[in-house]
Amino acid sequence: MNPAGAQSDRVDVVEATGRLTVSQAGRLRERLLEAFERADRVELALRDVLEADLSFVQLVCAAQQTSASRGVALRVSGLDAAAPLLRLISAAGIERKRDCPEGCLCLGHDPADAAGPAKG
Amino acid sequence: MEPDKQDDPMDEILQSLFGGFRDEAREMLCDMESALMELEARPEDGELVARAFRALHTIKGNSSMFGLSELEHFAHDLEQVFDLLRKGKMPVSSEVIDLTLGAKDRLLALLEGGEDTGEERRLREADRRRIERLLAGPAAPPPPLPVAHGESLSSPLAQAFKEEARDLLHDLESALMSLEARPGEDELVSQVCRTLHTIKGNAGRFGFTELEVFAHEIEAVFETMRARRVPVTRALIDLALEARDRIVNLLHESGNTADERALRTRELEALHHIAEEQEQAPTPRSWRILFTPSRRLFAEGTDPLPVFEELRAMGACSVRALLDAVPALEQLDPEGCYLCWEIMLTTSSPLDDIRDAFIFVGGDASAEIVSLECPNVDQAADSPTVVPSIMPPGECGPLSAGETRSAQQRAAAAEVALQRLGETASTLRVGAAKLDTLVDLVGELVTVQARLSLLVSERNDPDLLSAAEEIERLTAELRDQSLSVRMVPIGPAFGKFRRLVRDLSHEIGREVEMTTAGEDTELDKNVIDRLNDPIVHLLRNSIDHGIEPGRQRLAAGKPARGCVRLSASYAGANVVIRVEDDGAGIDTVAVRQRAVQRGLIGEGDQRSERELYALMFLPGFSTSEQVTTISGRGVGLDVVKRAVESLRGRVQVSSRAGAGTVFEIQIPITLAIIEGLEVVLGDDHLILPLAVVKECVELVRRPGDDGRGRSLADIRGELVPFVRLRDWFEVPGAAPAREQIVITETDEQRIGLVVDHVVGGQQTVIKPLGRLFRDVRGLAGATILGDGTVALILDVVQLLQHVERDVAGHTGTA
Repeated sequence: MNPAGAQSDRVDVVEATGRLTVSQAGRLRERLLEAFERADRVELALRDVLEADLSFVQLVCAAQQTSASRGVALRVSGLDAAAPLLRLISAAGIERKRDCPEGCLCLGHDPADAAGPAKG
Repeated sequence: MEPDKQDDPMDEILQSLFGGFRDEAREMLCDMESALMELEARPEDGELVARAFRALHTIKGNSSMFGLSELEHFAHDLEQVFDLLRKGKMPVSSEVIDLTLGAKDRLLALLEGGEDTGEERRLREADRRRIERLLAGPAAPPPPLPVAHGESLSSPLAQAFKEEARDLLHDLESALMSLEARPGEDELVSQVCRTLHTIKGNAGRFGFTELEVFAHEIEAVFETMRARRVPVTRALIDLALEARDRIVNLLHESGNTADERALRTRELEALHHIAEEQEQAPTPRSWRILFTPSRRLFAEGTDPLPVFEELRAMGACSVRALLDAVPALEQLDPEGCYLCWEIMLTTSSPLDDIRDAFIFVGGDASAEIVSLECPNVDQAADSPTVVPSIMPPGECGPLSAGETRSAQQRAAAAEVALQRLGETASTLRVGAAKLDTLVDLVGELVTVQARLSLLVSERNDPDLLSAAEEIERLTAELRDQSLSVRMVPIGPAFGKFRRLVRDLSHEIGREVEMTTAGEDTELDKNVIDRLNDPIVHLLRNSIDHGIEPGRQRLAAGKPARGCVRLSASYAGANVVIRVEDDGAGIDTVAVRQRAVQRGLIGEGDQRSERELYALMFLPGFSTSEQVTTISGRGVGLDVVKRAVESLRGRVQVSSRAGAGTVFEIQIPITLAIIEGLEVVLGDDHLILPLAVVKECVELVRRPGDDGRGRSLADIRGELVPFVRLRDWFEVPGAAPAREQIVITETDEQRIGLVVDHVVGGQQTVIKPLGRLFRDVRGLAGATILGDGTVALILDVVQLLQHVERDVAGHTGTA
């Protein structure tokens, strides 16, 4: 994982690569918090995901809550290519909101919640 | 058996430790016995097996510590059996129960020590061989048959077997027919299984191999019904009845024809065929599981995904992560786990398998498993919709109606276990001798205190008076407390009787169920010990003679299985112990005949039912031939009466023809203290137990008092015979002009005791008289009065018996 973010005007892209496990969760959280501080829109970009565990899913969920409370949009991109994460989501019964047009990882089971700042 | 004694300062400590071990081991064996008895009724209950295993394991370990190698090894041998049972590698069978119950007695004998007799050694060796055979598994060769196959049909043993088998087959037939009428009654299926099992066992023992195998096959089919895998249907019962007729033929030569053999094969095939056809797979059930892993799930490196995999493999399963508890990034501990899961599972796997899936998810995790099937609204409402907070992993939350009972039982068992743990932690084991000394000392203190109070009252010093009153209060409290220390619940003693009932009923082939009540009732330990024999007598009586054979019971419209109920309850300062049976009741006509025969009553004497019952307690009323002619009551009842009376108690009987008999023993809670009436006779003081005293009146002299035996006093128009104690005890000097008469009542009989004067009632601490006086009749003990003088305590019942005999002697020689 490479939590280094590439800042553009008001969009902060936080990259998550390699092993998305508990050992990286702390650093990724810090990086996300920084992004929420300074950007209008945060993108969590998944690249070359080799492994993912539930701490990462939990982190995404927490980020979506922060996004909602701060009014800063969050988009999770590259999910389709992150096979280990998709397998984990399926095996652990993590529900995704169904009406996300971009196949983004919007967690939760109530489709009505999908409208809002977290929408990708 | 005691540990090796050494001339060592540690010796005393070792002995004391050993005493503790022996007491504890005794209790464990007692507990193991009750576990085994329960196991017989509920062979599937693993906790009972575990209980017995733990007891043996502990006894083994402790015996090794004290160098009791024989005890250690024998416990080890037996422990191996329970290890296999525990691991499900051996089924709980009646053979195992019989063996282990017997082996428990061997262990107890080893523990109690004494001479290791040849008989005990032989029994131990026999048990060892049986254990070895059990451990070797079903493939091991069966024990040698006492009667070789082939010569069996005509030998006397075989005849005995056949006679018994005929009775059993009759029982089997009735049970099958009842089952046809009431196919839902589990007990009937069990009864059929038991009867077949007994037939099979006996057949095997007496070499009727073909019969044994045939009975075994039928039993196997009924076992599937007992396990509710196959429903009870008319077709199966028809076949079983036919098979029963085949067994009847097998008992005779007629069973040996080719036709019969073919019929047997056909019937077995049909039975198995129907059973297999109807065998039902266990019904799948739906469960909702709320799984909350430990907050440290990630840090511990535990992965819950394999759990979900395992559950999915059990049946239709949906896993849904609940993310509600996950906080925003700001509050998130990235290494903590905030996730939990709701899992819906429909599976035919048992609950235990579901629980087992969660074994490896860590100590702080919880899995609440709730059945989703509530057969009616009320029960659904009873199960809380919100599952209770944290439960240990694998524990089960509120369950459906089907599960509720066992869950409640488990909860109750857990509570009892916890209570026991608590009790163990806060109790102290003390030798009985120390307690006796304490009670003795307190008794003396009570005496001295009474004397002190007497002296102080003469001084009339207010300060002294107040101090004496304080001492009086404290002494009374100390007396009550020290007596209460000796009180133990009667429950464990009841447990022993359960075994007796089981063995007896097996012995005479009669179905008897024993129920108990009031196990918590506390009694002086000495009293409980001395109650053992009378209760054994009464239980034997009930089973041997009260409860009718199964057929007779069925004919009388009662369940084939008889019931004996043993209960204890408080009644004021007494405890009432009742032995009830639902047998035939006492045949008063026969009792009457017997009494006339024995010359106890005249041919034309009118006696109430109660008076007739009282006759049964007379010594010599019953003999062994008696047992067969009367409906059986009377065996050793005089022994019961004597034993109970020696405890200052009394025994009563009531009975209803066809409905059963109740024996009621009433005994004082403690033997150490007696409510007494102090009387004076010349210079001597005597104490009469207040329990037998009805009233005290002044004696009006009448002409005709012969001054020797009994005379009669007019008590409000009723003539009451009386005894002059002054004459009886040969007290020197003349009687005072005005004497008093204490009216006592024992066995519905009122008798007066004439004394010089009555002092009053008082609580008396009983001191035994000592060996020198053991032959003196009519005295229960002695006590020390407030002024330091010794007063003898009268045993009124015994005294009156002697007077009676003496009077009879005079009349006889006159």
